[in-house]
Amino acid sequence: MAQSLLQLRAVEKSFVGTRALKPLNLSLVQGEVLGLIGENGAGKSTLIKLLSGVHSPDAGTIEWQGRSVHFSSPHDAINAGIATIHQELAYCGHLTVAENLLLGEPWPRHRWGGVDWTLLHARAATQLARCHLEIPTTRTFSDLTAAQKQEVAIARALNRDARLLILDEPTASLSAPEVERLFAHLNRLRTQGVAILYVSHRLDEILNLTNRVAVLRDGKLVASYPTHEATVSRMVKDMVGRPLEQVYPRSRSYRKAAPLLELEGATREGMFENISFQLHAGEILGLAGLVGAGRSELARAIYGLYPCDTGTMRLKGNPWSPRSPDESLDAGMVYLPEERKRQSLVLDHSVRDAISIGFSDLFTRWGMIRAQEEQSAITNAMRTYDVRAKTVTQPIGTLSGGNQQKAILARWLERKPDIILLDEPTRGVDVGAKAEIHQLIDKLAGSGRAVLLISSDLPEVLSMSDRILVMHHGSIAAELHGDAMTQENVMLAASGLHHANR
Amino acid sequence: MRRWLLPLILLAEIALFTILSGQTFISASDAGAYFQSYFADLLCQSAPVLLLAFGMTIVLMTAGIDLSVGSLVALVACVMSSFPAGTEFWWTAVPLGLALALLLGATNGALIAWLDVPPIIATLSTMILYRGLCFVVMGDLEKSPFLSVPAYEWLGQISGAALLVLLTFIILAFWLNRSRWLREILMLGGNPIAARYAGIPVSRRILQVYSLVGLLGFLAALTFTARNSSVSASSLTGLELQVIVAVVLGGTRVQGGAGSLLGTFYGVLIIAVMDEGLRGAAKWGTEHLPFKISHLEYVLLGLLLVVGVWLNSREKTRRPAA
Repeated sequence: MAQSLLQLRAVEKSFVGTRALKPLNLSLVQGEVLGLIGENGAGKSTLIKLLSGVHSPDAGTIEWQGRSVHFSSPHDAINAGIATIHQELAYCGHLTVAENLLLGEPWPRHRWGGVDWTLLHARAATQLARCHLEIPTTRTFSDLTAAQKQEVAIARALNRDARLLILDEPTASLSAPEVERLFAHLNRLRTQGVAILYVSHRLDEILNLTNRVAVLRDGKLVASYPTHEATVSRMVKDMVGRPLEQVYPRSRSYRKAAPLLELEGATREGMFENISFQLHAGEILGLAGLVGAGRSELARAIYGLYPCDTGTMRLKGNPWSPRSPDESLDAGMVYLPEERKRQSLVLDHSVRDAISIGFSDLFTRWGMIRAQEEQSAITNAMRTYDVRAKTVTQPIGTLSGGNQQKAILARWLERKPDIILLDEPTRGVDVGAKAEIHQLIDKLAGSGRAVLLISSDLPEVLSMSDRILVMHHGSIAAELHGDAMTQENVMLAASGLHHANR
Repeated sequence: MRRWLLPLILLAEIALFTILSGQTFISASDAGAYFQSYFADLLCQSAPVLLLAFGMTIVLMTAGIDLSVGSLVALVACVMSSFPAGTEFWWTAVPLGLALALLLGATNGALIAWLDVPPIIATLSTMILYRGLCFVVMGDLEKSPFLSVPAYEWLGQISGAALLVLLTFIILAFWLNRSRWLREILMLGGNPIAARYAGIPVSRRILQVYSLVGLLGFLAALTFTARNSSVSASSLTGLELQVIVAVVLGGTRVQGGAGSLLGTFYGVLIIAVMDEGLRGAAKWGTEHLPFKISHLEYVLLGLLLVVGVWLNSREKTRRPAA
């Protein structure tokens, strides 16, 4: 039995209003690869932040190499030997690879105090070579591919003698060959005795790479078992905590109806290319693909945040080229953006304002909102969409992620739109709210609305959609129907390996 | 907290300065008469600042700022003063001043909304530009046609100035409080990206806000010229500072997304009372101080701004109320 490296004892953490982590025990030994899985909001990122020194636990102890430690900053954690590779790599894009690698340590100097660039690049090159990487150290960091950036980040961590490497969704923006390369790299590290905490939504990767799986749900460690005992269905059941049918309801069967939205060769330079599809009344059209494949960009163009360069769009049979989103709203189309806090909310505005901004123009006179109608509409909407708030004057930011999301849905759906563009509607939402939102989407399509569902959550997109379009590098890589709608097919197409021959 | 704190500060300040000035009252009616004329003076004196501060409140709600208000009012006043006095002043200078004020305000708005210049830079530029134009128009002269215009002085008296200010306040407060327009302004101030996604015409709203400041600047120019009777190219220098301090003190935060017109009202009066009090400070027997008490004005303005911003950051979750 290898030596215990990390031991968490009854660690817990709360943020305003929510208990992100309930008392939690977890251990890791040298050379072990632990897969950490759980739904969005299950507490994975909180756990990572505790280990990487971003937050401190409210209670409980973190034991590192047999000693109880307290990290008061990310710097402490790095010095102790815990390196975290975040989803979004925090590096200086305009600096070279060498500069980024050696950032934060003393640089070699000439006698007169200037930087010895030759020696700097030589040092960086040896560091990369030690990790079996061949990346020119003079390249600008922002010019690297996502995979190369990650490799540089890992090399940097290892050169600081990291004993534990935490990887948060490392494959989110990698292609399949790049993923394989990363795995080979990680396996090599494992044999060198580096422990890895691997956080991912992709269960196949978990099965491939890890020795052990830990499942978080609602801030609790609900299960932990060796990977050879794990199956996809067992892991899903543990993550979700309820049978799948309840989370992914399906009450309707889709019958072909009139197209409400038609795209023909829609292109916008650098975002998406030659997109053609039809979205029908009563249909849920899934739009899958990797982050950065151009799905949100496409939805925003349809919504009128910017125009297409070429190609035509038709809305309810009429030519459609909106100059701004208010035209879309008037035409009966709404868009739920992916980033709730950045793109939807003013966190310290009241629940009332946050909801009614979507539809209060429907009952104004002389520009004034009729208070009674607004009040009843809000009350009604909060009941319909089950927005749980103490009062309507409470700041929206004090609600949970799920309730915020339902409030935004209420904002838009109270307009009774015909075409609904949903961008990651259940991101960062707890399981209960997720099930409610799914039921809502299902009901919307059932009542004849057309829904475009953009989601990176594969089970969600697979089970909710009537049809799936998969985007890769800005164009549609595949259209999947019926039995072809499988996790493998979506992933293959999303990574550009599936040719549009199905 | 602001709701009762501000009027309380105002009352305390008035009491303090009344005592310091050595004013004694022989009877209640004497005191009544004193305060009646005191408040009338106060309101007339601060009418231009009040009007501008209402506009500035809305500008701050959009997370913007308008440094050009002092120059704007001065330029409008200068241009109007170039017209011959007489009855025709009412249908030449006055409408032209209005048009000019709207144009100047809209210029600020256009720079910010369309050319994407940060508000502080855009209005700093126009602050200098408009002031420069004042000198071009006026040279070194000081002109005073205003009191020769029939009925013009009414605008500077208590009946005219107070009516203008209170009417503006009531219309703005009443309408804004219930309007969708204000909700849109608050949303775009709190989170411009979310506002765009919510279908709010952000550029149009910003243009409207700065044009509204122009309109209020025109009213401010009327009350200022009617009371001071003359104008020169350097009139009203530094007015923007008073206005901004008053608004922030009144509880409108500079980060946008919230604000209060009533708070602004108190903020302006608090500063006006302080100003007035310091001016009368000669009577306090402060001759032996190495500086003149009235020169403390900017020191106190600076301190008030810091205090205001600090208080605002403490009550982040304030509800906007017009």
